[in-house]
Amino acid sequence: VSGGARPTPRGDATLERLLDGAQEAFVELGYRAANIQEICARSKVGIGTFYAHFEHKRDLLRRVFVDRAVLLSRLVTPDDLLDHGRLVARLRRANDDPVAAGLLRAWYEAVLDEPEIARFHAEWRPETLTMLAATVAEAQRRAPSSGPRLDPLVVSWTMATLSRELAIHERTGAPDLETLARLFEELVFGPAVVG
Amino acid sequence: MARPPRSASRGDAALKRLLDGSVETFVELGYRAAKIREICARSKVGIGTFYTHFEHKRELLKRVFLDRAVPLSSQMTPGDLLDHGRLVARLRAALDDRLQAGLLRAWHEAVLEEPAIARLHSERRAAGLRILAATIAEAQRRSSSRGSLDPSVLAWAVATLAREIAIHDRTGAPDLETLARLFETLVFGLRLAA
Repeated sequence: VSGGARPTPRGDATLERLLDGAQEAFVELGYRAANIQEICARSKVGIGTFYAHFEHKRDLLRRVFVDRAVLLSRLVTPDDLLDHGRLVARLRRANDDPVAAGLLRAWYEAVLDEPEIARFHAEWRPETLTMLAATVAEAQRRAPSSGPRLDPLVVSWTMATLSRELAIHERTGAPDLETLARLFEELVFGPAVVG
Repeated sequence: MARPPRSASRGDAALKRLLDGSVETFVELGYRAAKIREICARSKVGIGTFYTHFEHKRELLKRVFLDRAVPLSSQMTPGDLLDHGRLVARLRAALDDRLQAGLLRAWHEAVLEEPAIARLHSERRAAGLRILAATIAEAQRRSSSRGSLDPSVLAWAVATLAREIAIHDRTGAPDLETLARLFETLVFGLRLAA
């Protein structure tokens, strides 16, 4: 818990404004280009509010990202994997939403720029992959088996990597979300075979 | 235009040292952190040699990347996909090589920073994906079974996953044996499971 923050409704409200403004600035400008002055101006909070809660811009990004990032591991349930329409809707939410994609992009910029964020990311990513793998394993358990399946952890790494590619890189050669959902279903339940 | 070097062979030798030294520097430091002075110092050439041949650091990166990066899409053959041992060896050569992975990492850093590199990258990636899709389609034709996904979708997935392993940290990533198995499963369906 950082010192200096007033544990009053007013303190909470200014912190919320700061988090909202920071998210907006990171999404629009990216990590490096969003400076603290600009973030505070957009948030309509004084720079003192920033320093009451955070020591460095990277700590603010980490807070916003951990609280708000739209990640497959948080979004997708076993039922989604078992229902094509639901899965497509989830992927749309994770990949087509400009705020979700922008936050992810700012995060990966910071991973390259800030060793501390890179270390945090390296610890955090396995946790999210393990969560997603548990979802995959549960979906596999519920579906009638049609032979051997890929390891849930390999499936979760593959899903997370491909989904991030769609969200944050340009989409040269990338499939649409319907097709991506089909690819994910084949990874989870085993591919259909033709011919 | 560029000032001609004093003697052709001497100029060539200096350019070659600059290219070699810049590869080492980009691989070790990445794109942004590799300053022109540092590159020239490591290459044992004067800064004038740099400006004789290039206007900007991105031009130097472009030159060494186009000359020396060996993309997986152009290396992989249908025979590799049909033979697990060969596929693993191919992935190892492309993804575990320090220079190749380092060059690719520097390149992708520059893609984020330099619009000119980003444009070139997007053209090259599209071309690479077409080649890889043709390789996958040919492997499927020669096989007794294939998965139901379109070769172009598979090419995108294979290229994206391979790059993830080459340039990002490998947290949670499968080893190359398992990656090969994953690619085979997607390309050929359940043939391997049988």
